[in-house]
Amino acid sequence: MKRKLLSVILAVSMVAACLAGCGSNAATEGEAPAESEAPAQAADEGGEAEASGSESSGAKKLVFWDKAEYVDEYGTMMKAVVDAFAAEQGVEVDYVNVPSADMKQKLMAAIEAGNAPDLIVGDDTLVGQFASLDQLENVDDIMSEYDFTDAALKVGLLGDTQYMVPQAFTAPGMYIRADKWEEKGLDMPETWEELKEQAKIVNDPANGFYALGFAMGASGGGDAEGFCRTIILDWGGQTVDENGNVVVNSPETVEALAFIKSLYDEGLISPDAVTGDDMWNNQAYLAGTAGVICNAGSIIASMKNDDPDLLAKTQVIAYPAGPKESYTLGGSNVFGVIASGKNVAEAKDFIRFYYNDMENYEAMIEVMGSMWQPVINGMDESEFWQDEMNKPWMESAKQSVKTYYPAPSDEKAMTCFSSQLCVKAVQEMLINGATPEEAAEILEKSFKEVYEAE
Amino acid sequence: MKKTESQTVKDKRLGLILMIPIVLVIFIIMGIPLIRAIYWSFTDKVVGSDPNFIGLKNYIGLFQDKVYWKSLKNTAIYTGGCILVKLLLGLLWAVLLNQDFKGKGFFRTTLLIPWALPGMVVAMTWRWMYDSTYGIINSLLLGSGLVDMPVAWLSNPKIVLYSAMLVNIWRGVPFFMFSILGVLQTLDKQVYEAATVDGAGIFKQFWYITLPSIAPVLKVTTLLSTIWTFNDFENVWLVTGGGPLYASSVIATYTYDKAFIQNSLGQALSVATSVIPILIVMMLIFSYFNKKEQ
Repeated sequence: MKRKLLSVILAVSMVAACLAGCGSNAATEGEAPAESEAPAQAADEGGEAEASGSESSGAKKLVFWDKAEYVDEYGTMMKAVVDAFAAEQGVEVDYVNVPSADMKQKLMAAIEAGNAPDLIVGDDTLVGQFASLDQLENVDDIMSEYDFTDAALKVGLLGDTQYMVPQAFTAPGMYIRADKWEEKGLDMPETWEELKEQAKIVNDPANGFYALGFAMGASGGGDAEGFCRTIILDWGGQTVDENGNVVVNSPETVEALAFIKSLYDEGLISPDAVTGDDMWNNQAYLAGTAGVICNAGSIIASMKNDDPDLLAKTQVIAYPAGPKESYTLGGSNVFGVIASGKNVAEAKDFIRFYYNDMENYEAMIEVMGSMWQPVINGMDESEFWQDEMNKPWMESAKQSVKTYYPAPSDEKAMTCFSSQLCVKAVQEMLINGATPEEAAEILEKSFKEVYEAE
Repeated sequence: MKKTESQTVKDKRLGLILMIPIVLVIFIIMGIPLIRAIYWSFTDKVVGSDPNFIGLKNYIGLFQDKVYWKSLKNTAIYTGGCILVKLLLGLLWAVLLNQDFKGKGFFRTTLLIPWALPGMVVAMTWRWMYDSTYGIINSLLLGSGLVDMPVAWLSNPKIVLYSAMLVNIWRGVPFFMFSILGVLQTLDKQVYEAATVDGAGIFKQFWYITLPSIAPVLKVTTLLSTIWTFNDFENVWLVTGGGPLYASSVIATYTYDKAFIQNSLGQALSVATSVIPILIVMMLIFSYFNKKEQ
């Protein structure tokens, strides 16, 4: 009888555990199941900043999840803004730093649990997915109140409606091991093809050094997808045109895919890149095993803190040009007001409070080094942005286009980007031996599945 | 004093009444989410939206999905392979550690380390060790002349699943080992002495004394480990990300991929729900063996 009972309990546990595996870290031997992804735990994992403001009963409580940044000063400054807002408005604020990699899962769990935060800050590609899921509040009113740049005004648009308020551009740059290039007497590359030829000279896998460090894993993140799309655009191809037509299967795309394939086939990139996520390229560069990576400015903060020698050997250059075009796909950090949050008005008030103090905003941008570029008109004239070290980043931000350019800003574009369709097509070539033509066909089919779905 | 029949009935009734709170708690904590998850698997549920019933559409799509079948096959290989190796190694190590030798305490403590480490640390450490550029495994293989080229542990689709399995085995063996060792330490040495006197060799002693004695623990540990391994998400996701191109995808990682990368909860839950019959069959097999023994 006891054994029967044990069997029944275990059967129920087994089935429930399987279903719970949907979102949890499944337990391994002897370990208690991982903590649930309830929002409250975001605080513990991400490093909670204590609640601020009034504790009086009945006071409104604004829950604000901010993306954890590599620069500590940012957290301190944002916390000060939160405290000032709480004191002025008489509201309680739960300010929580959430690691970028965890934001999506935690937010999805929180929304489903009916316990969503009121306000979030995250990457535009991530927050945009929630806009496409109808989870963000219209912020047309805020966007009309401040002098955002033209590029900034496009960041949060879905159709004709603004759903995200840009906080800062995070233009990507190309990090290159200048010492290795100088050692071989090479100038900085200006085109992708030139980069490839130089990479062949610098490449030294026998001694653990690959010239290029372009990750191609499909386990989330945007670096690999952004790289593939940049190459397609630079070769004159497009994934989806400005009218929403899938046009990816073109000779230009085939050539672009052939170029990407050649980088791996010729051993210029570590074979591990095909399972590499957004951390992989950072780690490879920091470990000194990759000579070139494409990344946002966060890696500079890591080098400043942990490896100043490597920073001294590093040069940041603009993205090379392709045979036909020269694009930089840029991202940004954005505020999103969660529609199902309990304090939508207070969340919007916080954004206004944040932008009302432009001096502090400018200081916050500058404290991030050149990793962040301002979204407000006129700030590029400051001494900081006229500095030769910082100027290229501002230029890069100005020239950047959205990650799914030139497709219309809608949920389909965001779904295609977050599903990493281009990465998967490249993997078909690298793993399953598909030809560039076949990969382009696969890509067309994948895009059409999204764009032609009911 | 012998209980009367009415007293026995009363005792049983009391037992049933006392179980009600537990049953209710289990139903609320596990039963309701389970039922809701199964229902959602028949809907077009996405985050934040109301689910719309779409019948078997998710399942039809799933059964036509090559990645699903690949993930199912990988799950079977991953679970079966890991359990078998963990069981054999755990048994071997337990028997060895049950012997009297100098430094026994040191080995017991050392072998516990993989089990005690957080999964995240283990996965990240192995990822570094597997790296084809700076990983210690390739460095040792190249240094010893066993290979000419670094082995692409995480990018070769033919071996990537086995790379993930190795990490699970490394981490899971201590669980088997210490469970079995606990029973071995309770066995009466006189039984072995008597067997020796009767002429039983070491293998016969193992087969006729040790194995029957540890069989109940083996069943429970195997069952628990099977559940954990079947649902192992953390290890596979952190070591391989389920890639490349789903080469190491298992049901747990594919469910996650559907839910959090493709933003489709309904489809994700259909993936998870589809393996319930398999799990129930596994349970029935275990129950059958238990009953037979009883």
